[in-house]
Amino acid sequence: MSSCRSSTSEMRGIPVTRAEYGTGTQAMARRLGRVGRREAPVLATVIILFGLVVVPVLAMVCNSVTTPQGGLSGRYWAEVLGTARYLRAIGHTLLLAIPATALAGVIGLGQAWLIVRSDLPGKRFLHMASIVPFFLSPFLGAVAWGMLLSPHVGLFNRLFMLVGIGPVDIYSSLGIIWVTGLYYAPYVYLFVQSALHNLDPSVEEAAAISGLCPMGTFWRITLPLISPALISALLLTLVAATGQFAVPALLGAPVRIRTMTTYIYDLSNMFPPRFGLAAVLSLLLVVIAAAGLVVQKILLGGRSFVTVSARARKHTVVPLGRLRLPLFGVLMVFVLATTVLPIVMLFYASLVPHYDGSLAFHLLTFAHYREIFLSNHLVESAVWNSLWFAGISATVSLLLAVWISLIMNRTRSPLRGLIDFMVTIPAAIPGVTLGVALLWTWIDVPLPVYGTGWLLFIGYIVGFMPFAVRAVSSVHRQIDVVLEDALRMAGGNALQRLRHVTLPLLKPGIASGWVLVFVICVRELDVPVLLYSPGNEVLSVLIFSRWEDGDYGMLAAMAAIQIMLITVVLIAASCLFRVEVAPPTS
Amino acid sequence: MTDPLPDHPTRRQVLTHAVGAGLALPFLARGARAADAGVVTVYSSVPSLYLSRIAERVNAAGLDVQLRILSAGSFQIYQRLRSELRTGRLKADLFQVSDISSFVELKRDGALMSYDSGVYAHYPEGHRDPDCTWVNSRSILNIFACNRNEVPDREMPRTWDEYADSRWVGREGNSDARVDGGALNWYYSLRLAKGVGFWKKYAKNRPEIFRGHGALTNRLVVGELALCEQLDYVAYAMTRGADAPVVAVYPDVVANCMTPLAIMKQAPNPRGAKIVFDWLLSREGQVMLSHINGTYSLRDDVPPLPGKPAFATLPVVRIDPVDYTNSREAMQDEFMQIFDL
Amino acid sequence: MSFLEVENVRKDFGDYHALRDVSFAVEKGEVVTLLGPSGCGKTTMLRALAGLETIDRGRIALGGRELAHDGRVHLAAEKRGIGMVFQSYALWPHKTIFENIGLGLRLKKMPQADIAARVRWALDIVGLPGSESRFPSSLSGGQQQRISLARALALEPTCLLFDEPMSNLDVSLREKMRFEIRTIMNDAGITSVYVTHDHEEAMVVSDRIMIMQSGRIVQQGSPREIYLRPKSRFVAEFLGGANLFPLDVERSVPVEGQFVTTGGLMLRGSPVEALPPDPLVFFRAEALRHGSAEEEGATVLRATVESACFLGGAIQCGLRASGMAIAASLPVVPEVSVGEQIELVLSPQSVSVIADCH
Repeated sequence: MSSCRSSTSEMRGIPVTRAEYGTGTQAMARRLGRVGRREAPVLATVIILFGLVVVPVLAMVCNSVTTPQGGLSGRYWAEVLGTARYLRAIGHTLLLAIPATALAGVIGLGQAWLIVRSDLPGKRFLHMASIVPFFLSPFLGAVAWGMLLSPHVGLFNRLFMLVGIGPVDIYSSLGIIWVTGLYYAPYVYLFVQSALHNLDPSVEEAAAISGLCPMGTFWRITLPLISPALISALLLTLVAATGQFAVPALLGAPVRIRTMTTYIYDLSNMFPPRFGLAAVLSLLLVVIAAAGLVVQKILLGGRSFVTVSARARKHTVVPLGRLRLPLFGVLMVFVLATTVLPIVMLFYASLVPHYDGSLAFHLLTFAHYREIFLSNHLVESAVWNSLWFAGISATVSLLLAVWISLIMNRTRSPLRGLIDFMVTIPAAIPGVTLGVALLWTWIDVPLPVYGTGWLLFIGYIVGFMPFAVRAVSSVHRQIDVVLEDALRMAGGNALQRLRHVTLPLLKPGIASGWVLVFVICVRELDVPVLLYSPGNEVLSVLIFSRWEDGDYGMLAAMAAIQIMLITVVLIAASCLFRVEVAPPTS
Repeated sequence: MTDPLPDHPTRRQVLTHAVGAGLALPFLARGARAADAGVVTVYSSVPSLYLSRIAERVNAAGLDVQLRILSAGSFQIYQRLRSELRTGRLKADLFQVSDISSFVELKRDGALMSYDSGVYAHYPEGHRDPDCTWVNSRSILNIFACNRNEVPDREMPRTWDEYADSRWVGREGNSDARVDGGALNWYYSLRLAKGVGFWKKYAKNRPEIFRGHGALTNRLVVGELALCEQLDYVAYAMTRGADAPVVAVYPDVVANCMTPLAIMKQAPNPRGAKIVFDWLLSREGQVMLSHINGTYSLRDDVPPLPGKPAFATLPVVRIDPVDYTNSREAMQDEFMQIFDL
Repeated sequence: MSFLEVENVRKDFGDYHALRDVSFAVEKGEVVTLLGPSGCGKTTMLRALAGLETIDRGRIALGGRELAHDGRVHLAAEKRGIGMVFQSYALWPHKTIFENIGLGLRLKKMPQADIAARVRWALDIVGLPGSESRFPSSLSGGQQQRISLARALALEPTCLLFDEPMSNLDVSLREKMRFEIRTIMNDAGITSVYVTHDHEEAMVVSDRIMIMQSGRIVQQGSPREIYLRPKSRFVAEFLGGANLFPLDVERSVPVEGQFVTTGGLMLRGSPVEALPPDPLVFFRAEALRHGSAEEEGATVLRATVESACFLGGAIQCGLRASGMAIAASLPVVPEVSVGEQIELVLSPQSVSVIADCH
């Protein structure tokens, strides 16, 4: 009760002088003035977030109802909602996203339960391996799986055909679902495993005492209790899968599987571009995402079923018996499928002169790497640019995140709800859409942003700051405000409290948030592909343009460099800084 | 405050220094490449792999300018240029895309600089603007290519009609005329030469449609496609450097996609832009470009690349740039309709 | 003028009136307790003293210095020089015990050597010498609370506030710590305000108790006064073991100490000049003793035992006499059993009349 009663002004240690309550307009004005002064920093935050996040969405709305000549018109909405091909794309988007989400859900839930609750060997390794695909990105996954399951020459298909199956065509709806499911499973895994960790084991013990078998306990007790986390994870995955561009663009476009994102990309890149139609489809995607969030709110109603026990207790381990090794094998197959094989495939492709589906180890050469390091300064500068932009974006995101988290967790400002909402918006906007919206917005802003590195930087901040906010805020929520009060009572002012108490305690959140945003910025394609400017090429954009040029050797070599960069950062973070690197799930 | 734990500050110091160094590194790297004296920016649809090499050669040519590049698809670049022009924030000095209609429109809007350079005299009529606003810096031809392993020599099609034959159902592919400048030019040219019926027949084969020629190439090389529409320089690169099992076929009609180069009227660095313009269109520049890129130069004193037929001997479709520009949108819509996209 | 003065303090949270009109004074060196159920405003009052909460109206002054006045004046918490011991200890988990205690001193720019000496002094007082380099998580709850006290003491506060410091400890430790804190406070002689909802703890720790109800102080006095002479039903019941019966005003003769409950039970008590409105007869469960009428003027009750619960130090009994339910806390000898008829005596000094409501 006492902990939540520290007012805004006190948080910053400003001695408050208050006007006496009075009646009439004068008192009203004084009260407003007081609120204004106290809320000024919060208001500034709201304005900055509005400019960064809401204005681009408004630009999108504006584009969807205005013609190039500048008149108001509903014709783009009418065309999208009245043309079979766009309606089909909307249907297709959902038909791909829903099974992919289900696949991710099955994989993630299975991994989480087995790793948290069963007596599988090598759990620590399996835990790390379950998260890795998140850092690998669906784009590289799609490239690699395109090589592995190409109908005639894919490595797997050759194996399949040896035993008389197949070929399996990755360039199909099933292929898209497979790759999407694999690479979004970490989302589900992380949500569910943290819920399972937090679950009070006595609840399950009670079920066991009541005579439920382990499977019965799982279905009737555990699953309902973790269902809020599972539902959140599934909806998040559904929204992400609906808005993702890379996998359908790589695997669906050639065979005329069109999704909303590929249409948005195509319509924006047509000549002349059909921005109005692209804006309508973008807004529909945002509506789908928003609907997902609303459904989540309704289903959960703000509840969190997970009963967190006050004392950390070890969970009972469920013995798998004879299934132990086979199930371990199944998980290892997933590790192979999501991580090992794609990486090996990319490394192999980067080492042969011309990847043609055959295995020719005698041809191995470092020619592509030599090209990159010795004769192509563009790649070299792109590596530096990637590090630079990711580093700065991560740092600025984290500064903003700490500030926002302070407002969210340590003030009673009525604007908190608004800030929370605005920080959530970018998560609901697909990368391609966000890129287009930012481009439309900043080109008209009379600041030296458009055409400079600043735009890319803004794109990274807007797109990925929500991750940082979540990472920091989830830690911040657990810090009892009395720890700060205690230093006040020991004579510490606001800055000293921040320096000696709040920041040191937030350190795990800040560190993992920084690494997370950094890695996402390095690997992310959807946002920078539309926002980069000459001199500011980043690695992922070059990789994409290699793909557009069909230069798989160079592509693979650059992807290998990117993977190594990310690996170095992750290893450094977990070993040197002891950072628990995982996307935040709260 | 003295810390009772002796090893604690040491670890902290190590970490602080590591973080400091990590943050400083990009700054240093950034500071190292400043030097923006005579920066010239080119917006180009030449693939970045080639374009970056070209830029390096320009920068090494002793022209006292630094060439910066923005490489993307023709339409993407043009769109970006248009936005910059609209808001008066042009960043490009030079503009070079594989789409003649962009130049027609830009010239119509008075956005191109009329620059009476000596290089114009070396280019044939039709490949330079009479008002000296642009010159064709390279020509790309739309031909088709076959995978030798998939298509035996005797079955290899020689004409577009054979290419469109129904026995290739599911084994063909082409690039997307909605988003690719070269593909639209190809669609328009063949429609002009053969009529819309050809396209309707070919579309029945349900070819795989790719955003660009690169991905198409890859599918052809690995043998997933037996044959595909292709750009001559891409096929040339495949057969020249890497020994890809690919045969380039110059069929009965060849679409010529020009890549004009122009100086923007509001170029931030007009002096530098002219220097680069003249050099890229000089004999030296054109030889370099055609070698790096594998494309045709139309300059009268540049020989064709070894192993390529001379440009003049090819059945090239001549198009009217203005009509092409005016019918662009209708062509795209028709393409979309016919190919069910 | 008292050392700590609180005058007519009001505090609202929206429509909720946390403090309605609180006034009290604390002398230098005195230990007072704000006692009341949760939600009575005692913690809000304490936080207002600390400066962690602003007040809407009223005045708070410490040692002649105005800390808060009518919401116009609010001296920041960190400038008040008041120490505080928190319910959850609030030790900084990332700092050693030395750093926890020394940080406030360091912020005061005290020389290093003095800090070390002061930390040692504080740890000696709380009985944990030599624990400087440990981390809070390696200490038990009781030890953590002692460190929290040491941290507050090290700064030599002019006034020390305790926010339910024992409520997170288990019972036996709590009983031990009460006496320890009382001893430490007596030795240190620091003016203290203690907040708790546990009346036994309040009685051990404090010189004076102030009972709070719904944002008001309803009664204050020494532990003995409060316990034996509650002024209202609320205070009587809050301290536990209260027998309260409505008075039949017609049949009672207050000036002679004759009280008759509406249920017809006759009790003899101290004479009362004037009855309060809605009068209740009150006596504590412990006031009932075995025996017969050897004492002059004592009431003799014949009651049936309806329930008996052995508690170790006493037997908690539910009795019925003249149809009324009575709670009694009887000695363990002689044994009583359910259904038994027993005879009990009630001294007139134990029986008083209080108002039903305040």
